[in-house]
Amino acid sequence: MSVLKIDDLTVNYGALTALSNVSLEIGNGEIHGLIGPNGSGKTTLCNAITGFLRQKSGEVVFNGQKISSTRAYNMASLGISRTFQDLQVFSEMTGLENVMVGYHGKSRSGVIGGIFRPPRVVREDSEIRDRAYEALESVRLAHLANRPANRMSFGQQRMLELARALVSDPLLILLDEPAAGLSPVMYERLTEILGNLRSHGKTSILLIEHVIRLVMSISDRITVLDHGEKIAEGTPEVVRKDPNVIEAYLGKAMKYVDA
Amino acid sequence: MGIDLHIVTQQVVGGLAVGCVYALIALGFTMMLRATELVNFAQGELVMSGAFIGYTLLVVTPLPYLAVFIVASILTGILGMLIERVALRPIRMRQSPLLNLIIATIGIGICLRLVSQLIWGAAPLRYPVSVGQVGHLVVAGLPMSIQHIWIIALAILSMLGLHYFFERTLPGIAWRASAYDSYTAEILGVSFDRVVTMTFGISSMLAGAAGVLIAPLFFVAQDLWLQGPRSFAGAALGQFHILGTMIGGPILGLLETFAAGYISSAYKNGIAFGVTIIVLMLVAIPRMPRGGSLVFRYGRQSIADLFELNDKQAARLRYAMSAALGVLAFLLPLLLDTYEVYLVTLILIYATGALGLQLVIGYAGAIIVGHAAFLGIGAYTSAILTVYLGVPFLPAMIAAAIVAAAFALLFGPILRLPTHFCAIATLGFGEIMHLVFINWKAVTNGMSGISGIRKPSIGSFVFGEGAPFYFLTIAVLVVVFVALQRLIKSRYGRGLIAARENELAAISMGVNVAWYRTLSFCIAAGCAGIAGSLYAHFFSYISPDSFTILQSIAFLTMVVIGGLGSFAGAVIGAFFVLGVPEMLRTLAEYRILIFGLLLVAFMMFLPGGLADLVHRLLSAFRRKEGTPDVSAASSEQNEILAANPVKNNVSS
Repeated sequence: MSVLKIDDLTVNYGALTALSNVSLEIGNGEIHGLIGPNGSGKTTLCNAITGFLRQKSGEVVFNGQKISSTRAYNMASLGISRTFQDLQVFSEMTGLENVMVGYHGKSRSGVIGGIFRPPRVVREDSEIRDRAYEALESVRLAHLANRPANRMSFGQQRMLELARALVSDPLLILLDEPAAGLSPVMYERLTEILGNLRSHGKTSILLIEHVIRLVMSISDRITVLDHGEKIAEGTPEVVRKDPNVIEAYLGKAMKYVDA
Repeated sequence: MGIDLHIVTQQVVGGLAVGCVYALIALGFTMMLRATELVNFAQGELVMSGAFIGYTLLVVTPLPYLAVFIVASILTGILGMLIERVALRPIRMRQSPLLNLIIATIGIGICLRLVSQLIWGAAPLRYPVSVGQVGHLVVAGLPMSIQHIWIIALAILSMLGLHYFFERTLPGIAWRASAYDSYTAEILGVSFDRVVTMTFGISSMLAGAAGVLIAPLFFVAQDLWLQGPRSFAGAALGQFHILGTMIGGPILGLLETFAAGYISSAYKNGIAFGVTIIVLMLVAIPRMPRGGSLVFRYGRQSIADLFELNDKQAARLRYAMSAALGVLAFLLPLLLDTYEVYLVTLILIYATGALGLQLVIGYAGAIIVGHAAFLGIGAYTSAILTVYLGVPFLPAMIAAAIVAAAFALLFGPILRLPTHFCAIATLGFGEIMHLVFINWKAVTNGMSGISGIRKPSIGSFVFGEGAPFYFLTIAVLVVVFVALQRLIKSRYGRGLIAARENELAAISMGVNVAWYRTLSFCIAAGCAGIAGSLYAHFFSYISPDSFTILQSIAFLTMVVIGGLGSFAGAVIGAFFVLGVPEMLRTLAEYRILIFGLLLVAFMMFLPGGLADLVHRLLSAFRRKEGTPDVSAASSEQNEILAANPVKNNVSS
């Protein structure tokens, strides 16, 4: 059974077609790579899935439910979470608070509960806190729980984003270039975390990445976009040898990978 | 005959004349927005300054009106450039958030108003108009006021001059390049700083010109400044394009004149604000779905974090501080004289309203300039319920909060506007509500207000003047304070702050940002409603004059001077804003001037407010004791050095 099924998705920016008739399927627990040259529509696809963009035609089905018209802020409670290409942390909040917000979609209490703090709300709050702390530990940032995010390094902020996306135990997580700009140590840590997620098998991942080494080594299947169209799909081996892909984009990169 | 052609002609010409003046003022707003994204809240005060300068020139010098028009415009332009160089540039250089600049312009506006009051007095002055401008010109049998034609001609000439400047001169073209893309223009040699100074110079010149033109129609007095915010509608109608604004102004003038003539003259002054709100909502929201949240650069650690206290110690510190404050609050009526207790009670009432405003400005990151409207709504609700309907105090106070919150809910979409538009739209909301208080006589009793509001009572106990009312107020304040403090630490509070910090990420994490902001606006209004209820019962009498833009600005100042993002700061700010002028009473009228200067000075030197000052002092004290801070950069290095392949420990 697939966790995400995209059918014939078309997205326009005014007169410009950013995605045309793209179909994609991500299975349970699958790590699905999404690659393509700059401007090929990877981030657009990500924004369309998460409800920040509306499609012109086509359909997105998540976990058996149509989400084509679901609001962006409802995606988290359905079980979709994401990280961003350019860092998007809550700068003035501490590491722990950042990750606690990641559990927002899965928790419920509101204004009245916040003021009167009945036992239900106190329980929920301490549960959020515990889970956030665990998530921070899983990316090894627990020692920075009380530090404001804007006083963390770039790599730490990337890890923080990852923890924030993971804390809600999502069914699907969209990672938009998680490896960009990471130091070797942080890169190691990222592959280790992705490997762990894969071995748990509960979370499916759509991995947008320019670091081909990472995509090729970790993905179960890969989709290649070019100019808003899908030009190839399959296992890393198949995609690696696809002449369309080599022509469109991987020609140069392949040499790099082989080297 | 239903419509008299003579009257219509006069209305059209009169509307166009006022509209052309609006266009000049609005062009200043448009230029400023194009070049710097700032809404200059002192624009109206510059109009007023131009009018006063023109007055002096006409009275003191033998210059004819036309020469005065030119000289006064240039002098006002120089004044504008001075303001930019002296006060605003230093704030801009610190990369302060937009809010700081906006508040500084509000402070500058207060200063200009009071300086003009010191020089020219508060009484309205009649403009000496030259002979050539009186009387009527008859065209095709229809009389037109010569004065109106003068205004239209001079305004159109000014606009043509501006157009020539933009199209044909090098500085004008450089300005356009910078407004389009200041970064690229800077690389090509167009200094952004000079563009900003130029923008202030030209927009102030336009304001000065508008002042001299419009002054003969009205008396010259401080309240001319309101022409500024009102003209903003012209810029909004013109979609913030230069040419559009030139057309938007006259349209606004005609709209006002005809709406006043054929619908209702009572609400004439509210029409422009209504237009602003409607146009901004229709145009700005669809275009800017992300809104413009503020950038906060002054994160404060809590005192507990600063001194590295554990939870138990922190709790103990909190209890100790609350206990000390509690004892102080309890003993206060014994230590102070009657007047001082009266004053402190009033400050506490305002502080209750300021607490709500802190939530929406400091935590939700929107600027609200019309908070006094909610104070008024609460006061009127409570007064009407208790005086006319005999409802007891407590339910009336709760109803006051609910009605105020309901109004906020109705106007909630305003909060989706980008920061500076939200500020001007809420200012408009405040002005419209003020007009409603004045004109909805059946309910509010108009300017005479509502009197005979009895002191609050619960059961048979009456909270009379002095200590009893003081204790009631402080009890209400503590309840509101604790509720808000709990709220901001809750899931809702985290979501609200997250939305301020990064809207995109907050939405992705499941925060319904628009609703959270609206809700914070409602809660803020509810607090003001409670404060308004206390206010009504405190004075036993309310009238529309208690709920004007001045009170709104006072609220804003409390929150900013107290320190954004600190509820305790809002209370301290209320004491500062209302208490300091009392201490300065010997300085008579200078005190409000000092107050405007303080607002600007705070933005220049202490943008984090008094709460930040306390924190800085504490950190300095802490540093003296000596614990070196580990910087972010070195901590990753440490990690790299210590990196060892630890198994990922997701504890279950």
